[in-house]
Amino acid sequence: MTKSHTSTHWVFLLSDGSKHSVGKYIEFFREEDGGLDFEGVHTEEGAIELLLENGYTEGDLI
Amino acid sequence: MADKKPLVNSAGNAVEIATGDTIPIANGGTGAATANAALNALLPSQTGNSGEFLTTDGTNASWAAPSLGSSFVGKTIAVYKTGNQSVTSSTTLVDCTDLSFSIAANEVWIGSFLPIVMAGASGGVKWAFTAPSGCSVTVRAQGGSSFATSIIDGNGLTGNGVSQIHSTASKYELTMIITNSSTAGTVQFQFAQNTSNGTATTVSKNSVLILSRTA
Repeated sequence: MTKSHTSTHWVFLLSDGSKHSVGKYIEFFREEDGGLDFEGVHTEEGAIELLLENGYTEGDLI
Repeated sequence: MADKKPLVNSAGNAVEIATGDTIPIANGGTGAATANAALNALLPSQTGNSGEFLTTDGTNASWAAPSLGSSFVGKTIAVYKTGNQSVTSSTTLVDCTDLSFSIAANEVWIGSFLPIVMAGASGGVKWAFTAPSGCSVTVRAQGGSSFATSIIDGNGLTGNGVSQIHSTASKYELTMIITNSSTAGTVQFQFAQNTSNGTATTVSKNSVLILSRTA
């Protein structure tokens, strides 16, 4: 696995040729009600956890 | 007359021309006894030039590979994804690797795009195209859980950064007309989740964009 993080995403390139972007944590206002919302994860480790939850294995992420 | 010689055989004897006799190239013949051999004798050497075409520099003939411009009316290209690509926990659009093409000033392309999308119902997918300034991207999209479902999105979406939202895991078919203005550049497909979700939204390997230049 190689990493190609951007300002907005944690980006992982796996050996099977797949590419995975996990959002970096941001807060924003919801247009509907003006409430505060958020998306993404704070850390690279958190991003990797999401990849594992989506079916990738530790072996895939080597 | 001193420069003129009778036809001679290999033994140096004057001969009448008969079936199987050959006339050397130097004497205006081909040196060959069959049509193919005669043609081959006169053409430039064909060794190593398979598939090439006869051309000329204005003086002499030679073999050359067919040469077309990098872009021409009627040119058709197909770009496809070589690997899966996902976005998770994010509604910020990302460039979809492999699914882009170069467009020159004032070119017009028509295309069909078949993205194979896997997404959770909560996250869904949204997509967009980026294009050079002044380039118009008109997209008609349809799809759903299969290509047989009815049209679910509007027609005539025009402009840079066109986006349309899908909320279910689906396959789609996008038909598009891309009309460029005076600025050359790249047309790039982008995607993200419609709603941030921990289940990845994936554009799958072999999703394909097929385009033909019409002007």
